[in-house]
Amino acid sequence: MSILYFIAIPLLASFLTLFFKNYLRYISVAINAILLVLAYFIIENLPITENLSFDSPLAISFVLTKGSAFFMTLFIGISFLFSLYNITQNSRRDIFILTNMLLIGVIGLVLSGDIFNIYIFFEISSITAYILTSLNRDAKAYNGAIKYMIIGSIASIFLLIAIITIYLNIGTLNLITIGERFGYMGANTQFLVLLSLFIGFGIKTEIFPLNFWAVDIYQATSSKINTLFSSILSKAYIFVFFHIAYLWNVDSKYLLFTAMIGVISFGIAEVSSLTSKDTKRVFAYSTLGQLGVLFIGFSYNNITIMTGAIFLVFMHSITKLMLFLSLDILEQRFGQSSIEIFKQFKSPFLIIIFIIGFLSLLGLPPFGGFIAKLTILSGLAGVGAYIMMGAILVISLVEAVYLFRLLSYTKDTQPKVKISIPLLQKAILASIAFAIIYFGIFPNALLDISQQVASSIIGGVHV
Amino acid sequence: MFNFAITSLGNLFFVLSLTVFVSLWFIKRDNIILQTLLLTSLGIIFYANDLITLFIGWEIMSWSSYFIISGKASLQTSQKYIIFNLGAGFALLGAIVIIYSFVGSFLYSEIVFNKIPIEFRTPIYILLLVTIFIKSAIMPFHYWVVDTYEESDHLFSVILSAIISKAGIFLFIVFFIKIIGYKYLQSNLFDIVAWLGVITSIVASFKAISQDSMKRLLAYSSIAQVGYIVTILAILNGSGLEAGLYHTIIHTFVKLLLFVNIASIIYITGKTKFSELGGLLYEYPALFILLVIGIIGLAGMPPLAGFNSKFLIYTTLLEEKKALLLVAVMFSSATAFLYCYKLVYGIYLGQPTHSKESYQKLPNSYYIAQIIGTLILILLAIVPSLAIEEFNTILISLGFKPTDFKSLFELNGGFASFNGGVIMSIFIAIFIVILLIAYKLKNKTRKVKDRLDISYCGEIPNPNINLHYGYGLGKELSRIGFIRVILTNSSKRYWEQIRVVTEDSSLIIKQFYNISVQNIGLIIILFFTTLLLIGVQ
Amino acid sequence: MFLDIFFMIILAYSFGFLYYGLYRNISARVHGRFGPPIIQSFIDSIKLFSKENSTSFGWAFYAGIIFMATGAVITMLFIPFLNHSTHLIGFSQYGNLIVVLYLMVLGPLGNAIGIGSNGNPFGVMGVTRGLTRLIGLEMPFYIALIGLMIANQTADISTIMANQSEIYNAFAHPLLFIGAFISFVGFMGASPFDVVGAPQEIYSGPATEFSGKFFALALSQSAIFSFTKLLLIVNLFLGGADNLFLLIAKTFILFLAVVLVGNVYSRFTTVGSVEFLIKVPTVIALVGLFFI
Repeated sequence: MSILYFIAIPLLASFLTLFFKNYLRYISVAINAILLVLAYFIIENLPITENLSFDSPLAISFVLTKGSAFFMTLFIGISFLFSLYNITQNSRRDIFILTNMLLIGVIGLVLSGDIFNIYIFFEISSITAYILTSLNRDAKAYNGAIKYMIIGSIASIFLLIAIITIYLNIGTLNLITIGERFGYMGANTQFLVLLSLFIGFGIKTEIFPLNFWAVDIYQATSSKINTLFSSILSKAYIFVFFHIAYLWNVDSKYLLFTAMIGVISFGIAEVSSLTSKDTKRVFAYSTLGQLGVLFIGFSYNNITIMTGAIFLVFMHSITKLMLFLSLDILEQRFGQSSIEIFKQFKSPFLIIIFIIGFLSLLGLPPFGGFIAKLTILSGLAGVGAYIMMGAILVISLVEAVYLFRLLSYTKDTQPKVKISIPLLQKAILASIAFAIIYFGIFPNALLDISQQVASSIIGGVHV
Repeated sequence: MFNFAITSLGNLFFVLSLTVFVSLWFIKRDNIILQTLLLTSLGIIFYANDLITLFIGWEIMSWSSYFIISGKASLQTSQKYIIFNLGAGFALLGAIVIIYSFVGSFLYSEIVFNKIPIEFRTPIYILLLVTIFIKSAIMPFHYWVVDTYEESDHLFSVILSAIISKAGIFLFIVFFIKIIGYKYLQSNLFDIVAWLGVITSIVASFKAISQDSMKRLLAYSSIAQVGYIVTILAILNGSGLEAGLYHTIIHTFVKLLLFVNIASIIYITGKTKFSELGGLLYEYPALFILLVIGIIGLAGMPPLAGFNSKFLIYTTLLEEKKALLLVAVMFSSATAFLYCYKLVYGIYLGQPTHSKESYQKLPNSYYIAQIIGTLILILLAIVPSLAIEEFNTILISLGFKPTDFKSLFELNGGFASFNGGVIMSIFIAIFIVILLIAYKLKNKTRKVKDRLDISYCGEIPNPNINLHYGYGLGKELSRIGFIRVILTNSSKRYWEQIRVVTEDSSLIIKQFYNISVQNIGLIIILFFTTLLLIGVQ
Repeated sequence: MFLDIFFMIILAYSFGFLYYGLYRNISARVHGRFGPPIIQSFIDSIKLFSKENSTSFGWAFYAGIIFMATGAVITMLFIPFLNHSTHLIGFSQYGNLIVVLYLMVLGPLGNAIGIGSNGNPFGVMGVTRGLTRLIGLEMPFYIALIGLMIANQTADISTIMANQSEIYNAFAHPLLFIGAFISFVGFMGASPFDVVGAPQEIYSGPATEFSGKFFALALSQSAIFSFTKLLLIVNLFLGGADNLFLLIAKTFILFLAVVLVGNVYSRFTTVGSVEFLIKVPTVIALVGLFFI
């Protein structure tokens, strides 16, 4: 069993689109299911390193650690749910290929063991994302896609700058080797590399002040695709960025800087969301905010905080999946996505889904988001970062304003449109909601996994 | 993950809550899932044995009550409710997390407070006090209370006033007495807390008098009463705790009685303002009598049990020689007479202001809650120390000396004591005697048939004149200097300013997310170059 | 026991009326006229009781008046008449000063309910004024009483009385006494705080609709209540009395003081009285508090 199966299977399966146009949606589910099963078996043999060519500085290597395994499984799981959800829609060639490629892109990102490989999959996922943005085929979508492409290219340029500088100074592309020799570069060179990496990944992880493009993109894309962006794509970039940071033992000032950026990003995103009039933008701001919290969580070299951050990654991904899919139902029904649609629909099921989702986003018990927030806050207090802790609490209060406002809208007494949801979709949404509640009340298993993942990331060496 | 323990304190609060819920469920059963969730969350809070369980119960209480409230209340009021209550919750979370970071455990029994360095203790107290102040509506954090009580469902206002306002009190007792222990608390901070409580009381009493809506009057009254409890608990000793617990019980049942009475009137007439009511006394004598009993309980007058808790508060303050505080409490208490009278006059006395065609018949279930309240008030009036027996278990479990009392009929406040049974029996005896004397006087009594048959300055009033003057009780109070100051100022300005500033900054900041591609690219490049120049030496 | 109570009621009733008659006489002499006979109040009340018709506005009106009378009597029963004695002390060993203070409000509540139920807006105006005035009156009064309770470390009236064997509280705590006295003048319904029940204000006063036996009951309870209040102040500040003579003498002196003050000053409005009471006597009493 090789790591490469995870890349190869979706890649090769994409070619099936030539033959089985009408069954693509089932194939999609099948691929994801196969990958899940493979992931289950491969996890027992961690860690695994595979090099595709002989050990030269230019070798392509893939590494499976606890950290990357976790993220990979998460992404495959979300993709599985996504494809299962779409099983009632017509098969579309473009979505099939693009989702496969996106999956390859993110899996490759988290599994890469050398920096040029990262760049390759960086590009694959980015390009797929650009095209996914344009899927609606209307003016707004194209506009968004071009914007995304331009900004994304800037990100790629910065990543390239970093890679070139590293290769010129250290002479190797392998992540571990770079980590060992990183300190031998001059201080200015180190700074240039780290800064370029920060800008490059920062743009893609949608962090302030590099995220001004993100909200328009979310608005331009259909809600369904937004699930992929919010749940999968941004998480992959965050993982890679911090994985590299810990692997290379970067200066603590750098991590302090990222924590600051994280909290500023969180604050600005939530404040901006207060007066937003479009639900997709609201959810986009919420994602930006949570990514800011993740930045804070990953920036501390502390097991508790990192555990909380990993838990939050899981919870946020499934919560946003659920929320964007629900929003998609509304968007299909009403044809628009302004916040007024919350006043106009009547569906007790959807309301409960939204309630569970929003409360978990806010970090209220007994939902999973609470456990994540609690762990992060406990960790922050434990290392003495009281101001950061206070800031997170205060900004969460701001978040509560607009989320509860949306919930209040559902009680509005306008005449309402009844929405019926097919059984499969209901089942998927309900099971995610159930998971959110379950992990809120019985978090220990997931906390344990998160802790192992956390120690593998912080540990730096491959475990 | 959850950790529970059955304690006598928890039992007291939970039984109180359960009684209120059950007596209301006889009347109407809506929102049954949310109400059950609320009751469960209260149980979690009261029986929690570690901080996380407490917090989980607390937050579930906040959001489940929010969903019940937002069904009826306006958007702004619902927002105010949830923002303030979540603010309280987050302050609590902050305090819990800080405590945990030093002590290493969430369990109550393992929190040894001297592991926390001195410089962190006062911030923890302040965070906890913020939570308690918001929940107990100590000014200026009371901004959410009055509108919420007024706009929520009439029967839910009962739960808000009778139970949820006590959550803050419970938190005070659990944290400051049980977990931290009085010996760590400096009295300076808590002197301020005591004064804040009584000032809240005074201001709220005056605001209550000037209200035209029944529910708002009772809302301010609730704020005032819970202010007493906070004040007396801030005295930081066993008798203060006892007085606070007694007042908690009395207030719960008094508010149960009063709010359900108001709800009955609203059900019957459909009106919520004093200016639209009046003169209902002879059509609903039972409701009138029940309200009078409630008023006597609220004002704290003997012979009913409302006096017991006031008495304990006064004796505690006398023992501790807190003369000024006692003066302020008595002042607020005397002001309460005014709004108590307004409540009974505006609804039942005076002249009717309406026609009776639109009246509905009141279902008997409304009486159950009121009768329960009445029975408690009468029972504890005759045997006041019945409650003290229960409290002694709590006092012992928290490390205080139990109060001894000679007989159940007598209430011993340390400084002084009185015999409730005697007072009640003499009162009834004298009442009957005078009644008999008045009855026996053999002259005829002419019963006035027409409501308009009154002496009216030599004129005869006709039905078009509004004779229900008394609904305006309290308007003339604003001519008195300091009362005018109280009535014309409000914390609304400051809270609204916060909201306006946040919204304005939101409008400004989110412009950044609307800019064009080239500008975004420009910003990124600029950011890069700036940081590069800073970092490169 | 019952004999004691009966005697106390008779005593309070007769002396209440007697003092009221004396008040009218003294005021008259101050004004340069003769005034009605001293027993005029007795005659009035007998006349009122024997009237053939009284107007009632329903059971609540009836009950309110009875309530009011009960309040007056029960307050009186919890104040000991005599110092160092086992007779004429009523039920005071089962209660204390705090109980008495709150029982004092019971009567006015009954009054208010009775008045409210008759539906006359002028009656309610009177009640409102009374309650507003109460806010002002009770500040210096309560401050003084609290000071006494703390100084004597007890709330029991008999003990406070007994502690005055060397020096009366009026001289031991003069500032408290002055504050309490000023507000006591208002409690007794004398100028300058008598806007509520003054004869010129009768139409807007509380007793607008009372007639016949109800009015008689109201007058009787007013008599008992006045005597009770006098008794309270005598016990607390003037050392109580060991026997009936001293009791009559001391209450009369106090009463005289109140009457004389009342005759000299003109009447404050409701708002004016509250503002005055909050400022002058309150400050005096507060300063007195600091010297405990």
